[in-house]
Amino acid sequence: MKIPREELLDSLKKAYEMEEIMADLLTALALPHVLASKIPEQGRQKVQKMLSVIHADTLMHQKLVSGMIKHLSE
Amino acid sequence: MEISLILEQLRQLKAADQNALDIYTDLQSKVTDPKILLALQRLVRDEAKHVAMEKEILAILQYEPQVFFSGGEKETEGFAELFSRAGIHLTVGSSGELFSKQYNRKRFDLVLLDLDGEARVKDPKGVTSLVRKIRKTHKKVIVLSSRGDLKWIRAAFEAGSSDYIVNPSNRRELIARVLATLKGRKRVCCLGGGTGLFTLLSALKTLPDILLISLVNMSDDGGSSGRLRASFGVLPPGDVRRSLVALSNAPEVMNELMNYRFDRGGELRDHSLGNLLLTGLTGMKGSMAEAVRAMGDILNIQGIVLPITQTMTEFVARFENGKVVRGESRISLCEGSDPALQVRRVWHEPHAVCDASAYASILHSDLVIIGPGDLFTSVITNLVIGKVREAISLTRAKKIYICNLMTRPGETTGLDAREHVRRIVGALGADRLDYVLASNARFSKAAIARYAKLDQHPVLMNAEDDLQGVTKAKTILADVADQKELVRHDLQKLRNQLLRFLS
Repeated sequence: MKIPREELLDSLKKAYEMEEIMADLLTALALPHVLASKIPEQGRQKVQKMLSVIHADTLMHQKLVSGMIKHLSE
Repeated sequence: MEISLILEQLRQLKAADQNALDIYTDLQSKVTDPKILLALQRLVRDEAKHVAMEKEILAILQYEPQVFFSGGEKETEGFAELFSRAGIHLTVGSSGELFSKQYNRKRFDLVLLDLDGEARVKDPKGVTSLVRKIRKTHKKVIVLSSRGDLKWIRAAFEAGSSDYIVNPSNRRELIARVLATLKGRKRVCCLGGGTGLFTLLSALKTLPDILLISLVNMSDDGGSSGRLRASFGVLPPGDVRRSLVALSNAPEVMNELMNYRFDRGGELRDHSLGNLLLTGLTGMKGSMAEAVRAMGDILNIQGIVLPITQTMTEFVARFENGKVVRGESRISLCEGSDPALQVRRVWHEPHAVCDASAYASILHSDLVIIGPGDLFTSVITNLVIGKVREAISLTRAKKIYICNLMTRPGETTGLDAREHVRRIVGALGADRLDYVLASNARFSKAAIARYAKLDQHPVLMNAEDDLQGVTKAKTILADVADQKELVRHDLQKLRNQLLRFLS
């Protein structure tokens, strides 16, 4: 490791906080009615598709990062 | 959620993703544990993808649709500001400029083609040719014209126009139609009158992503409407008033005021204030259609209300015993006729002329809803207007008939749902229906008894194949009734059934 374990843990905890913020924002933005009537149908479908991809990835990232934190804390 | 709040949240999301990406990228160069390194590589790849996607989402949400208006500078006083407030970027010029080198690489989202400024367009062929020419390069075309020639409207529709605005001077209606075109909102035309139309509009008003257009029966001659019609020579205001109130976004007290009925005061007695205001506005503006537009502005209505005709006509019915009854209110009351006798034929005298905006609206709609409402005096009275029938036959919209819940003496005594639909198909001149929505609600014994005293009975449909041989339309049997006090269509249940056509 070129980085002290504690520093690595700190960085991962910061990243986990970011993932949490993202997950909360995405949960609100991905609701179907949020974008209703704001943009044309075609654009809305595209946006909702991208948001759902980011949302699914973010939930998976939370698990991944918390797994790394656990692994390094043991 | 407001668009500004959505944009703010997306910016926060992008910032959080960028922060996470920076952390993972930094750690990637400092970690040697293969398991952690593998995870970090995936995180970096995903976060970079997310940041790019979020950039694209922000661009989509912040995009200002590009609209070209061919009306020339003189016509556009205040237009740029009006469009800007609606989040639209407006370019003004002549149609000649649209084809010039200046714009030969530009693809506008919408071209507003003002025919009043097109001296070379002299006939429907000219309209077709110009609309087609524009459509080759630009995404959508809306034709604007102060002349409501139905042949021109049809030519524009057949050439692929998205809409045809007969009165471009009403800015609320113009923006509503432009936004519907740009945002791909479904245009829903509701044909009817009376309480049925009011109920339908109230049910649909709260739906997002639709442009609701109420096409209102103008042959009412009873009550306050009939008296104003006789005294002032104006088209009957009662049914348009109900539609305006149904779509109103004004404070509730304003809606109550519109419906307020004087209970004393000699000549004023039994008149509603809204009817008087519409009569006054007709005098000021020169026509009921313009009065309705002005009242729509006052009430800030969500949608468009249009009289289906601008000609003063009398609705006439011949009953099965050969007796001819003139006037909608006398037909409704089966005055001079046996209430059990059925209507055999109906027509307008003189011939009713379809309003040009109503014709254009039907042609360009996505869904045409016929009924509910009194079968002959609120619904079929619209369908027997020749050009209304023509527009319904030409439109690519889905057509649905919403069947009544109860019969009405003199109009529909003894008619079940099958016979209601048969009359509608007959009035349309051919089987144009795609769907029939009928109620299968079981009414309480108390409700049935209460209505039986008024010689009114449930309009029955037992099975989905009841309409075989009458129409090829798909039958939807559903409980859409509310029978708390009066038997009426339930707003929520009706909305839920109609949602399937609007998704």
